[in-house]
Amino acid sequence: MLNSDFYGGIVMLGFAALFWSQLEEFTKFGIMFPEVIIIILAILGVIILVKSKIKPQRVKSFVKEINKPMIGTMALSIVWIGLANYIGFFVISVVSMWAIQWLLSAERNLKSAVVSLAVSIISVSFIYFVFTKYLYIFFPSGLLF
Amino acid sequence: MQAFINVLSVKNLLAMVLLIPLGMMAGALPGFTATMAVSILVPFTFVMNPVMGLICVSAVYCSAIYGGAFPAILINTPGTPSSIATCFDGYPMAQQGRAQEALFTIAFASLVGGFIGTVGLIAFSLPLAKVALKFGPPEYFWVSIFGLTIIAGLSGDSLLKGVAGGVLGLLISTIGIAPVGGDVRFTFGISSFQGGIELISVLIGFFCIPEVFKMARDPLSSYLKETQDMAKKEGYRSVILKGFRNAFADITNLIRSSVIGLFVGILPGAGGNIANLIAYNEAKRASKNPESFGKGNPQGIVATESADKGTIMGSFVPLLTLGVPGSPVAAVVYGALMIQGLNPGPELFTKHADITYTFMVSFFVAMALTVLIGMFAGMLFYQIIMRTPIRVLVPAILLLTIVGSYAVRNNYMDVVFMLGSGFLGYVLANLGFSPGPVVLGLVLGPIAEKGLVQGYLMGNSISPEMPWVIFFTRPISIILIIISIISALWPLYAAKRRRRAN
Repeated sequence: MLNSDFYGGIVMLGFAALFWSQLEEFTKFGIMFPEVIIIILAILGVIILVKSKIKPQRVKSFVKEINKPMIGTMALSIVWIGLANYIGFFVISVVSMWAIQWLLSAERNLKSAVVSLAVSIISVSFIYFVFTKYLYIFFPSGLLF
Repeated sequence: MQAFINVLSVKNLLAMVLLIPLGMMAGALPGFTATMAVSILVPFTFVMNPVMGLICVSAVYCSAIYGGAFPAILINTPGTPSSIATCFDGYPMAQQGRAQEALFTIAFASLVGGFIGTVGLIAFSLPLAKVALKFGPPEYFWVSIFGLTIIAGLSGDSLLKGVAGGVLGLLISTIGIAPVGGDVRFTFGISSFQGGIELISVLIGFFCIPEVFKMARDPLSSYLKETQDMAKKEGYRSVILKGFRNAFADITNLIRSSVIGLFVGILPGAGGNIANLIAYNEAKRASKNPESFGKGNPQGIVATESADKGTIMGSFVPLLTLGVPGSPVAAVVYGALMIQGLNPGPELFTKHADITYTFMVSFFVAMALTVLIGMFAGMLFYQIIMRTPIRVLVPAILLLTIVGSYAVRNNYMDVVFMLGSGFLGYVLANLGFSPGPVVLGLVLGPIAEKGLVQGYLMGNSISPEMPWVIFFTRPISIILIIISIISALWPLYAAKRRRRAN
């Protein structure tokens, strides 16, 4: 079992520290609100940490629930979003959609690969066409498109 | 009466029927807001006569807000910020096999919300606008504080973590240029953050991404499988009746939420994103069974959806009566009115009264048609999601989240931030931090900061020795302080009362 208060308190203190480190020579009006909020967040983080020692809330460890398909989907979504600017939205979207379908498929054979590829190309093409032709929203084109 | 006749002409009805499905599609796509849908429509209205143009605007606006509830119920992702709180009970209902019941419930609740909003818009526009004008920065600050007191209702198991989540949301909202002073803050060297954090990206990240990851955990299961069985077993007629009964089971909740939506909509800068959260909290607070909220209580979605629809009409009160656009959509419509030769303000009620009242009445007609079409559209949306295997649904939803968060302002950092919020939301949710308070903080942060700093400046100009006194001396501020204190203490009182009853 995971002491969720302990890790929750650490996350809150981490955010408070991160934002505190960014406090610069702001004007009085620019710093008035965030400074108070950072201090309140830090105090709440400390209170949650203290609670974790006195009366901790224990939850089932979610890390253990993360299985291979989930890790694969997470990794592919990072690759998808991370590379779209460099490779191009259209190509990376087709590839990522196909890869996720392949990853989550029960049967991995040529037929399912072709069907997945067709689904990916049709979905991305439809979105791409509607957004660029009618809504004038242009996606990152990168090296390819 | 003449206004009704104008709206109900065949040409206008046909235009509405054609535009409503498009508006719903826009609303149902996470990231594609009602403002964007109306903005796309407005150039086409220039070639129409003013009445038809404005009727088209009301049709698209009503349907886009309505459509936002579909993904909120079916995939736990608010299509528009107005549907944030619809996720809280709508999605659990879907998980329990009651998605269709939820979709019909919101239809009837929306109809009442739209009716009350339209009546409020027609009958009380001028006095309501006068009240809204009395809201200065100190009042807005207290409105945001009142808004934050509803954290208790959104916190889940731990109030402490709810408050911390709300404060974290407030902090994230300070990223970007300060509303007063112009400082560029907390950008971490990323120039794209200068424009601040886009609410839609965070909404998609916090609500949708964790659900997508959870779906991927068990790819061979069928999404919302129980729902299909239940609907098949009971039949559509029974489910429609259930939706009707849910909507009217607590008339007080329905009317109160619609009125909350109307009032919040009138306040410039506030909108459906705040109204639905407040209405949800009030429904929970007034309920005899508050612990059932968040677990699939239909009264939760009745409150949020009726409030949303009240907000639509409320947002036009300052525009039509005073010429002050109080919401992004109203600002777009402001331009449309000007191009049609109609000056927003009192002149609309004298020189162009026929057009103005037709526009007002068109909201209710548009809402009625939206509800009618929405029942079928909801079923279609539901069937699509039901029949799509998880291995296709996961990448398809990811594609929509990427497109939705990018489309808001063509900023790729919003997509990156959306995914980052998703991972953070997943971890926080598993550590017992509900996403509701974080999003609430994010929504209310800019209002709170602007109210605080501008109120301070106002106070400083009146009394440099005691600049903060202004926050505690204005009549509306005092009322808001009292309401905030009652709202903050209510959970403690309710808990004590329950203990006594037990």
